[in-house]
Amino acid sequence: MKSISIAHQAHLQALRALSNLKERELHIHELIKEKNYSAIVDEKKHYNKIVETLKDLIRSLKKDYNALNSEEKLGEEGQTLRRVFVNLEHFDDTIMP
Amino acid sequence: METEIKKTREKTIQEKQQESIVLYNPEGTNYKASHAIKCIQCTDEYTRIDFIYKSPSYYISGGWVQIERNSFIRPVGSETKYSLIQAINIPIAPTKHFFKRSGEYLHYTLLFPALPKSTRKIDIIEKEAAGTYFNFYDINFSKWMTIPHAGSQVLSNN
Repeated sequence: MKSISIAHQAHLQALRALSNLKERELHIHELIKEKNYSAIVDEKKHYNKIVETLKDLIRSLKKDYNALNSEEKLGEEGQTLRRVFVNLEHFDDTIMP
Repeated sequence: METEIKKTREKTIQEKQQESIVLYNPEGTNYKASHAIKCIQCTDEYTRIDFIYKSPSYYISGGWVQIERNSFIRPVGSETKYSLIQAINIPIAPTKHFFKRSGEYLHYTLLFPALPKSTRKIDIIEKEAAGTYFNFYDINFSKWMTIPHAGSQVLSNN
């Protein structure tokens, strides 16, 4: 039960991080238009920090998922984790350059 | 006891930008050059480098450009690499910017972390490998002009 709750929390955390990244991307585009270079650098640092945190989270969740047996993988925890992986499948391609 | 408290005021973007000097490459005005560094701005927060690229005549449609995500700058004589933070107006590889014709100009900017104050010369490296990468070595910007190129002057609204 506890691990299911952790999986759900991880799923929510990943979704929140994704939406946060999209908001920051839009903000960086605005700053580029304003030619506010110091703010761009600052915002990009935060952006990259979120990206790294999210990558660490996915790495750790994949490790947890692989450690589950086949029955557990079909259970609620396994399904939640799979949902996280589906949501973040093309994450690398969507990172702001 | 009376104490005098001096009020602090946050500087505007314009004030912050005026504090740092932009150094203009005298060769940046050479519009015959296929690829030139237009100017460098070194601040306490970032290093900004503006480039001008002219699409070559040997491609009818002008070809394409892109920049590697792992581009960096390196003070000459140092091993420290300052990695690209943001590319403006040029796509990161594998995405490409395709020109419509040869002779077309592209102005783009690369943002890097701040360099040490004593830096006079840098290498700008897209990728040190075989191929046509945008690499510039031994760029001595310390003696570049502080006066903007004519084309960079902001025109009056009148």
